[in-house]
Amino acid sequence: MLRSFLVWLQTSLGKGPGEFDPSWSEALLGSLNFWGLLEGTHLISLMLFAGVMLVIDLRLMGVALKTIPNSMITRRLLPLVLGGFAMMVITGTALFFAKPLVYYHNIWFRLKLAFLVLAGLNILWFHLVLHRTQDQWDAQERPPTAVRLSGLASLTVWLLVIIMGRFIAYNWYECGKPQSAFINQVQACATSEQGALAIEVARP
Amino acid sequence: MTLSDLFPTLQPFVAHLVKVWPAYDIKANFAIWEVFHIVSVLTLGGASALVSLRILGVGLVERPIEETYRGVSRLIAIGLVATTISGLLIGMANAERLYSSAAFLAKFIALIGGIVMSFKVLAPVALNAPRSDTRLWAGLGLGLWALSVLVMASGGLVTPGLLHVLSAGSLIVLVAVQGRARWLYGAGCLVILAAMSVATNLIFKPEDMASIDMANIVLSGLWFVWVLAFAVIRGRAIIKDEGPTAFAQTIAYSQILVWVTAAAGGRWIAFA
Repeated sequence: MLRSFLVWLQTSLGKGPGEFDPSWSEALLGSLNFWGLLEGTHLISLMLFAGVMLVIDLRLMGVALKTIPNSMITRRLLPLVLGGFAMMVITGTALFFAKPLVYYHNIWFRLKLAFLVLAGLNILWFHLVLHRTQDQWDAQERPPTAVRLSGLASLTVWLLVIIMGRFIAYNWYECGKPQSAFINQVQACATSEQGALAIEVARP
Repeated sequence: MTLSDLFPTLQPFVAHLVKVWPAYDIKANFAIWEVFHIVSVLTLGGASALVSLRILGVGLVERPIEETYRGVSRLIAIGLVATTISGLLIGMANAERLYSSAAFLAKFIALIGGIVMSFKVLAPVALNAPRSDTRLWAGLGLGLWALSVLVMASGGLVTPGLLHVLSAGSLIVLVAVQGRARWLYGAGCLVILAAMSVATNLIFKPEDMASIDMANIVLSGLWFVWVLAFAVIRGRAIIKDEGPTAFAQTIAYSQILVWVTAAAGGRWIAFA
């Protein structure tokens, strides 16, 4: 059902009456400069978001800006992080809209979404559990272990999101290529246009 | 303009680079090194942007600028070393393509300008301890940035990448400007963007590239003047409140934008 929706999104939404009229998704992908500007803006938003997030995480870990309380850092820097994140989501959604089926059948994209969920869970854990005792460790140069672990987890997960995002551009595991059943399964290659091609395992 | 235009005799050397260790090993694991480079750039760019934004009255405003700088100076240094090493290595592995890329030349010049600005200019400005040669280094850094912008402006297919620099500049001013002026400024930016969109999509036909180019140039120029005007108004208010000087603010803006230019150039290597 999701795939059918994405097929409609890519091929039918906004399509003109002519046989060769492009859909909105195809028009976006084929645009002379708009696609490039979207990708560039996505990267520069990442610079703002991840660059500042890195500093916040390192403060939680007791590595950077140690003389400044965590609450002040969060209050002052979080709006920058959220601004960068909002721009990333907007440009990322537009990039997805231009090639929804490619992303749908891409293992790196799926992993990126999974790590985004993990990042969200870590934020939730921080706010629901660690934030309650913030008064006790707010100004400490070296916060308690649980807080430092949360900072490390955030740093690691966002790094993985960036790595997965960059790997999307590479076609190592593109559907239609001979590859393991596991990869074909994870990418739902059987439903893709290229199909699922299994590696022939040599038997003794 | 590309490196191959400037140094055509280097072609055999550039072609040979990929056969030299570690270039061929890096080419085999290019994606990993590319991620390393991106993370290095965002560490360097993000950490130094925090200091620049603080100079412009954004971020950790309750604390002195020196404290923000000292808190992230190690990150800036690590980011610089990692960016330089990873950049040189992935550059070696992709030398022939970069040699004939206008986007790469723009990125390369901006990168050197960014290094000059981050290390020889931002530190004395943030620590409020200017040295006798600080303005000289600032002139060099700003000159290199201007040159990289010029390369992008004259680079044909890479020219639209300049919109990243302009939009980043307008966003910095948006967060720096305060009160009602912010709404006026934001509305003006939106009007100019809407005019750009209408002119290039509705008024002129897609095949009339000359008119579309002209509309983009005129409206981008108008956008630049609008951004600059509000940056100056905000800058005067900061000086009136006994904040950083006009020189320090100029360094803060250009220090962020030089890294945006380097990032935009890097991304546009793929397109132009």
